[in-house]
Amino acid sequence: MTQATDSLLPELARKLVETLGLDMSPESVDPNAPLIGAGLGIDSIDTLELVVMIDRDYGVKIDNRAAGVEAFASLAALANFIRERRPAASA
Amino acid sequence: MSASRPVLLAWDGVSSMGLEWSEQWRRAKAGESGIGPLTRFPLRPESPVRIAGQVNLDPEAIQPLPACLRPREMAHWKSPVFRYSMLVVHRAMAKAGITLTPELAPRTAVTFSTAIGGLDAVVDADRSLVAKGAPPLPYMNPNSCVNMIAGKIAILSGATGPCITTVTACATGSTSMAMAALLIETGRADLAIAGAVDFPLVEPIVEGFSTMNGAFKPKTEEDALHPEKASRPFSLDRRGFVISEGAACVLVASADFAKAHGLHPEFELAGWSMSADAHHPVAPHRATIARCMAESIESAGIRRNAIAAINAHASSTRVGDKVEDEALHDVFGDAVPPVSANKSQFGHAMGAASVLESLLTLEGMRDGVVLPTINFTRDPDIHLDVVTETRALPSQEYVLKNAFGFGGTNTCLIFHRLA
Repeated sequence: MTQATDSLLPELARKLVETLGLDMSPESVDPNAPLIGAGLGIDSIDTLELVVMIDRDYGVKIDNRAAGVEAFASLAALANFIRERRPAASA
Repeated sequence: MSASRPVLLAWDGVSSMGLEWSEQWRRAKAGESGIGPLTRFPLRPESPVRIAGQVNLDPEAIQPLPACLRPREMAHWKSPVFRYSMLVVHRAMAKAGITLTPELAPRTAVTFSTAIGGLDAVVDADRSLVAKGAPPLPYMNPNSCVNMIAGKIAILSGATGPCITTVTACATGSTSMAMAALLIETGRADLAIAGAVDFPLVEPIVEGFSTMNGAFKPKTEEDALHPEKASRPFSLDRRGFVISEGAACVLVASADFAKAHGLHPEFELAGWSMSADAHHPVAPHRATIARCMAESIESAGIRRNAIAAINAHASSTRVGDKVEDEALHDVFGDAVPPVSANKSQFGHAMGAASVLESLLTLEGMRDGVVLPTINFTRDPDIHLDVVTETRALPSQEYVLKNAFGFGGTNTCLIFHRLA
């Protein structure tokens, strides 16, 4: 479990770059910078793609505005958001 | 040249024969084949179709990479139809040196089309939905929306005139050019971005062409070892088409527009016709195909003996090629001009095939050659002068291009090399 938690942040950085075709390496995504409306150039369409990706890959829904604000505050915030809500891995 | 006649300004294509148009033309003249192993999805041991004509578009191989193909631009456009089409349109516009000004934009139409579109996106989404209950990504529907390619081309170019998708199965590319001509001839546009793209190497489509006995299936070890010998239009041993990918764009303009911009086009789309078979869902029909050819020649205002060569539809099926042979004799009697079947080299790129073949026709008229129909063995039931080695034919003033599609839709074009 600890190992999975540790790998979540770089995994999310990789998915962010790949899903949105960002012209940067996953390592260079600042985990504490705002995800939306800042340097990454992520727009509302990109956000929709991320919402569905997070639902598909982690079973976590971002289905209201407050959840969106919390989840997309930064990559680190997104990782925390997912950790707190993802369904326990089935045995 | 009358003012409203459609002229051809520039073109580009990608196909199983390569990514650079000049390279594809060189390989075509050399009698090469673009057919190889099918690798777009994992083949099962019993998969009936095992070869294809694939476009190997590695963005890293394209230098410099146009802005429209950057990963960020393409992030939501997973279906290859978008990469292929954006590339050929970008290149054709660059070759013509045309930028759409605010005055020109509303006078510019898009008729660039597709037969199958981004169906691969639907299939992928369906598999994830069924297997894992995973919802589709938000851009799945836009990827598969059949007129989205034309919409994306309008965004890329800035064209704000009529924007239509001319889906007519395997005649789609020719129909796109015919509809471009129609808009120009009726004064509805001065410029049209025509062409077509297809990515039919989607598992159920490929296997569907197999079960309906349309696509070539290897039967012997020799077949498996030599994919380049599988596509055999008009040949005694023809056994169906080889499914290919491809895209091609041609810019069509009014002669007035060309003149006003100081352009000196080498070709015009001198005539065209369309007909419906009203006969059978997939089998071609001799009478309506013959009529389509005859009407296209008539609309060019020429006599039938002015046609120097034929670029055939030549699907490579038993019935399709036989019916085209019969219809050609109905139109030209015993004097059918030399016939070329480019699917022998490129495979069958579905909706894109007829526009790719149109571009090969134009290059042949320019170079004074007729392309070979490779893998040919004479069929005693087919009485055509099928060109089997690249043949010099210097004076090709007019050439007829045939295209026939499922649904019994036929489009014939007459290209004219301007003096």
